[in-house]
This record gives sequence, C-alpha cells and structure tokens, in this order.
Amino acid sequence: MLANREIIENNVQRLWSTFDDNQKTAVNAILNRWDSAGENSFVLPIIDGPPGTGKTTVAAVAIARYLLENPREQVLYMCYTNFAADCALKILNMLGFSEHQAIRIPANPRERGPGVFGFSDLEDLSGRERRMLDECPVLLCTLHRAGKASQLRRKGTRVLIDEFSQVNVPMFFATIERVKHLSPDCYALLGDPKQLPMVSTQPILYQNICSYIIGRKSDYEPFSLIFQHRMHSDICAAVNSLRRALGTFDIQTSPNVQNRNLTHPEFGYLYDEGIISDSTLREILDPNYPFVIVNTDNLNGYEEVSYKGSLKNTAEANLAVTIAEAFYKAYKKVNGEPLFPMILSPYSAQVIEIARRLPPLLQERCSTIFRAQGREYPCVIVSFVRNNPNRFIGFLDEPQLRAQTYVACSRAQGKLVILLSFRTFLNAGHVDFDYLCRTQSAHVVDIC
Amino acid sequence: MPHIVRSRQFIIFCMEDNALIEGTGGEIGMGKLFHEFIAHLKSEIAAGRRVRDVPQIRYIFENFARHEEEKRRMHCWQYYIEPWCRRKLDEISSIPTNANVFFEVSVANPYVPFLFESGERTYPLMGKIDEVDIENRRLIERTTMGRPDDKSPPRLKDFQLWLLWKTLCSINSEKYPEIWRNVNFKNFTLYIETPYRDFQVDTNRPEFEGLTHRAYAWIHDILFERRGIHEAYDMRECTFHNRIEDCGLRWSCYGKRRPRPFRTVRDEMRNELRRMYVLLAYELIWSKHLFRYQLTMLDKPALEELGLITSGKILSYQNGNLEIELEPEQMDRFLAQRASGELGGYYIVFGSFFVGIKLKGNFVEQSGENKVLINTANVRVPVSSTALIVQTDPEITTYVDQPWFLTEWLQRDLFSLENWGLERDDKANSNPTIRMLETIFGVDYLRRDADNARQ
Repeated sequence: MLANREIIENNVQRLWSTFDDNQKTAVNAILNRWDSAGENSFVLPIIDGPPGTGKTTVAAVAIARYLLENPREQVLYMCYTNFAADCALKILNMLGFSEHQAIRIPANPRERGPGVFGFSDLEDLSGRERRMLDECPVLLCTLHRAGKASQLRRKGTRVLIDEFSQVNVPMFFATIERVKHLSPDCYALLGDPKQLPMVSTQPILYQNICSYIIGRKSDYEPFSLIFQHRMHSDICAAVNSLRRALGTFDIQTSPNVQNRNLTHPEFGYLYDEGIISDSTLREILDPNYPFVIVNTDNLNGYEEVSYKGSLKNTAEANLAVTIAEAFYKAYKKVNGEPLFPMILSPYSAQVIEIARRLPPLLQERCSTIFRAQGREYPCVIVSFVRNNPNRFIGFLDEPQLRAQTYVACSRAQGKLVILLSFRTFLNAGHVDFDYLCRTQSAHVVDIC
Repeated sequence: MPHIVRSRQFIIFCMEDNALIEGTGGEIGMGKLFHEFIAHLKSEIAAGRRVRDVPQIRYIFENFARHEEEKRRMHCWQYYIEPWCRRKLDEISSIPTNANVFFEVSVANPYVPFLFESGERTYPLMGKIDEVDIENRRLIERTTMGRPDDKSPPRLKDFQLWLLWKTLCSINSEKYPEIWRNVNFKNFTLYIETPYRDFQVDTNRPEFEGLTHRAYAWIHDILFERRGIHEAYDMRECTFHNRIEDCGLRWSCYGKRRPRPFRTVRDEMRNELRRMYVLLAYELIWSKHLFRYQLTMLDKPALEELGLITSGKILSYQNGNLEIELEPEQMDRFLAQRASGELGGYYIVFGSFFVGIKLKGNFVEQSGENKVLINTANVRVPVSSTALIVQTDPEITTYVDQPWFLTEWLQRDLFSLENWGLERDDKANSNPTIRMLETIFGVDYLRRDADNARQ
C-alpha cells in the first residue's frame, strides 16, 4: 500500500504535464496489460530511447502510475549497472516514494543508506529486514541479482528491464529463467539499441536483446522517444550526425535545453575570460561554442602502446589536462564553486595517463567511455588518442564498438570538446568522424 | 569417439570450485561450510587453542556459522561436522602449535605431464587443494558426499585429488614458497575425507592417466567441433534409465518432459541457446582462463609491465589488514589506476601463481609513502614475505568483476530454461513467460501494444 499516495499522485501529475506525446504513449504502452491469453500474439513494449530522452523517467512514471492504480502489486526494476538503478531510484524518490517504498539491493552488504539495502545472501537478513524487502512495492537491482530479487517478490510482479543495450541475448534469457517462477504479469524493455554493448570477447554476444527480437520479428516497431532533454542543440546536432552514420532516426532538442550552455542560469557558471592568457584556449573555452573540435595534428604526438596493449597519446593527454585545468579556473558559480569537467577516452591507458597528470582535485574526473555510459556531465572533453600515419583507428571503426563516439558525445550537457587528429580520422573512410566534423554547429580549433 | 587433442589449447582444466562433481539441491554450499569450518578449527588449534570434546567444537561451530540460516547450520552440524569430529577428535586435539598445515592452497602449471603411449603429453591444469599437511606429509580433499557404509571414495573425488597432486608435483621447486622448497610432495599420501570415512588414494593409478586424456579430448571437441555437444550427449554414461545419482546435473538433465513451449518452438529455442553456450564458453576461456594462463606462462617482470600484477613486500599482517610496500614506480601506477576508477578489486597471492595461497582483498588506504593497506578479511598466516597483487578491472575481467562469472550462471540458467515448460495448456496459455518464448522463438505475432490501449 502506498501511504503517501497523494504526494506521489501530485508529483506524477506534474511530471506527466511536462511529458511530450512520445513519452506519454510509451508510459501507456507499459501500463496496458499485455498478457493476451489465448491469442496468437504477445504484447511486449520496447521503448527505444536515445540519450537524454528520459527513458528512466518514463519507467519511473509507469511504475508510479501502475502502483497508484494497483496498490497491492509489486514491481521489479532491473538494469545492468548499479549506477543506472540508482538513477531510477532517485527519480522514484523525487516522485515521492519513500526509502521503504523503493529499495535498491546491491550485493555489497556495506552499501546501505536511504533506499539502498545491500546484502549478500537472503540468509543474512533478519526477519524484520526480510519483511521490509518482501513488502517493498519497488525493488531495484542489477540483472545479476535477479535470482535474489525474485525471491523477494510475489507472483504476478511486473518486470522492467532498463538500459537493454547492455543486456545481451543469453543474459536476457537467463534473467527470464530466474524470474519465471513469479509468472511476471508483464515484461517491458527500455534502452537505446545503438549504445554500447556489454564487454565481451565474442562479437556475436554484443547483440542486445532488442536487436535480437527485432531481427526475428521484423514487423515489430519499438516505441521511440524523440525529444532529448539533456544536450544543448549544438551538441545534439553532433549526436544526430553520429546517429545518421549509425543509420537511425534524428532526435530533437527540447526547448528547455536548446540554448543551455555553461553560463545558462540553470548551470549558473560565470566565465572569467581574463584568467586565460592563451587565445586558443580562450576559443576552446568560449561558452558561445558549445561544441568544439580541436585538431591535434600539430601537437606532434603519436599514439603509443601502453599497459595491457591499450593505447595512449602523451601529447593529447597533456592537452586534455591543460583544457580541464583551464575550465576549472575560468568557470565558477556565484558561490565560488568551480566547474569540474569530465575527460573521457576510449582507451584505459590514456585515462590512466591523464589521471596521473591531473591535479588531485580533478583526478577522479577522468574515465573510459564504457564507464561513462548512462551518465551525464555539464562539460565533457573527449580524447580519441589515435594518431598514426596509416590512419588506422582500430575498434573505433568496428560495427559495435564504434558507438563509443556516439556515447561519448551524448554525455555532454552544455559543452563538448573533442580532441582529434584530422590527419588520422578524416577522409579515410571513418564515416562517424567524417559526419561528426561536418556538423554545422561544430567550431573547429587548430592547435598551433 | 572424440579424437585426442592434437594441439595445445588455452584450456585450463579448472578444479577450484569442485568442477568435477557438484552438490545437489539443498546441499549446495554445504560442502563449503563444512570445509571452511574444519579449516578454521584446525587453524585455531594450530594457533594454540585447545579442544577437549565435541560439545566444545559445537560451540566453536555455532559461533563460526552464526550468519547461516539455523536450518542449514543444524543440518551441516548433524550430518557432516559432528560425525567427522567424533572420528577425528583425538587427531585434531594432538595438532601441535604452529603446525605446518595449510588450507585452500592454489596450484597451477601449464605443463602437467601425463603418460601417453610411449611418451608423455602435457596439459595445463589448475586447482585448489583443501589441505596440505606438511607435518604428516599428506594432501586432503574433503567432501560432504559419501555414506557411512561406503566402500570407495565418492565418484571422481579420487581422480580430482590425484590431478591436484600431479599438478603440485610437476611444479619446479623454485616456484614453491620458500618454506616448502625442500619438501618432496611425491612421497605424500593422498586422502579423501568424507564425514564418515577416510579413503587413501593410491598415487599409482594408470587409469587416471587415460581418463585425463579423454577429459581433454571431450573439452576440445565440445568447444571446437560443430557436433561436439551432440556427440557428448549421445555418448553420455548417465541416462534417463540409468542415472548416476551423485551427478549434480541429473535433475536438470532428466527432469519431466514438458509439452510447452510447443515442440517446434522448443527445438528452435534449443538451437539458439546451444549456439550461445559455445560462445559463452569461449568468453570464459578468453577472459578468465587465458588470463590465468598468462599468469603462469609469463615471468614476473612481463606481468608487471603489462600491468596485470603489482608485487610488494609484506610489512605487517594483523587482523586481516595487510600492509604492503611497493616500488615507487609501481605505487605511481597503482594509484593512477585507482584514480581512474578502473579497478574492481584485488587478489593477494602469497607465494607464486604456481603454488600459493590466494586471498580476496579490498584497498583500505595509502598508509605511508609507497605503502598500501589492504584488508583481506582473513586471519590466516601468509606463507611468504612477499605478496603479488593481482589487479582486477573491467577489461581483463579477472576474479571479482563482470562479466566472466556471469557466463557460469548464464550457462546454467539457459540450460534450465531449455528444460522448462508447462504441462497444462490452460496454464501455459496464460503464462506470460511461456507466451513470450513461444512468440520470440515461434511464428506467433509480437505486438507492441494491447488492443485495449488507453488514451
């Protein structure tokens, strides 16, 4: 039973009024009963939500509305990472779900806090803890925890699987096996089929469950969310270029964010141009250019093989650090809070190289693109590393892993800076990068 | 019949998790508790604790297993530990303080020799020995399987221990921890301990040599031959009418035949899922076994250069907290990797990758210049003065993080799904999982929205 029903109802109503038609249709699709017994058909809503289009919000609203209509029922929300489950938990909390009404159950027993209750085995739980989880209307967990979570749910539970790009076919069916005894009243899938797959040494295992189902059922059309609420329109244009290269539909920018650069009141950063003496850096940092491509050809740095065979480019690492430090110094909120830019790279060796060079305060602002999936940052710097005379870009050109470029660019909200060797990447048959650099909103800066 | 392996493969016949035989039903995990408690008890006695009688051991056990469910605790005590203690009370009471007894000793060698025709053939093998008792010159494999009136050890357990002994003996003594360098393991006696009986395993067992070649041939054929799985299934020893009762897979193999999903759908489903088993097995080889192979094939500097391990000197070891001193250059990389958030966790290896004791560890703090504190949640004494830190990250996906371990449950769950279904048509018709499987794998129509869609 939802004790704070009225609060949740009001919050859902308020959020519902901001939803576009696609989001409303997607929520309704999840809510409609799809167990059509006796017919030669099965209803499975699949929501194709490109970056920033509010997939998780759609899932949270569907959960809230379902529980408002069916207060005795239960929901199991699953995704590949604890981070994504945490995002969904935050939205549910924002809708008014208390820490006893929506609980994330990680495997680490030390991970406990409001709405988060880690445990390793069900046997470790006391009777009171077990009851609390048994009665909780919404449980959130990773797919690896499906077995444990299903023991805490009643028959007829609803199952939602988010971020299906990271759910490959065996993982989906193994999860189904783990929850099948619940006779889930329904299943729903949300995600972006174009994003990065789960890491695997077997390329065939990259295929996500959405692509697999659509491959087998060619007349099936997923619901598409087309309005994004994350990126400035200039950055969205870059993302659309990459989506076109990946052969999928364009997304549109919601009016709320289309002009939201770093100095927009919503971010609230003030840009102190005078603090930066170098004119090229000033050009890169300029808030009026939300999407900047820096040509690193003149850096005279080449890629090198580093630890575990990963690649690094020391000159580009130095440049990324210089730009990050400049952002940190030049952008501050009224209360003095600096901007912490995020540096992304497809290569772990480059991430380590950059982390080594960053000052301690910024050291944790550096990650591989894989780890950044599902996250968003006000300012993103991407170091693509590759610089070689053969114009070879390795896995950045491979069918599944090329989505790294798309994922990296779509993490940025107000500012995106790309470090790229034009000599290596452009006009060499690397379609994604040709499309990206042809984006009209791109401001190209040459390093002298 | 499968042919004998002609070329060396990156397959490590892994016996760490009791790979040859699996417990069944409610017994799963019971063997672990049984063995862990005995290891704990013996370690306590070796550390100076005295035990007088079985009730006192019961008290120690209740305290040790207090986190376990009461029913499981009772079951484990009643059926496994108590019978074992009654037999062994005199023996364990006489364990001297600081006895040279080690538990869960990992052994690995990429070249374990086996007799083959007139020569020999080597295979890579790794595993874990339950107990290495240097004091009494014996190796022990402990199991909860077996009955009081058994005349022979539980199925394949003797083979498992023999393989571990072969592996241990095949390792060059230079690769042993310092304190074991002068020990000749070839003269050790092998014992299988069940709760009710001890069985000595003869080390001279020519039939085990043949069994090893067959096992590798099957592994090879299942992985690399298109018809390997079918052939293995056709030639199985355990059949519906002649089941091998202690096989851990017998329930899922010969469960009741269910009519739903429909026969046609089930065939398609089976084809699709079986294709994935092989891929998942390859995933396991490349992401886990190959890494382990590298650990035994490459020398220490190469492994450090690749960033796979970090080695350091143990400064102190108290209450599971291990303080390790690293070389300045390694410390630099260690911290950079932490900062980049790349690492999942650690494995601390005392000794070498060939023979040693492995403990899981978590980074606590940087305790000084070039010093790190790692908690191992373990109080056993290390067998060496140096430690190797095996780093785990999402890329090599080693011991702790995703996704290699998934492949094991993925395999198991896919297999289980393959054998699942419903007998009653009315139930099957209203069961969403059956409906979904029949739709995805069959010709039924998949819809995105219900007919009575709300506005």
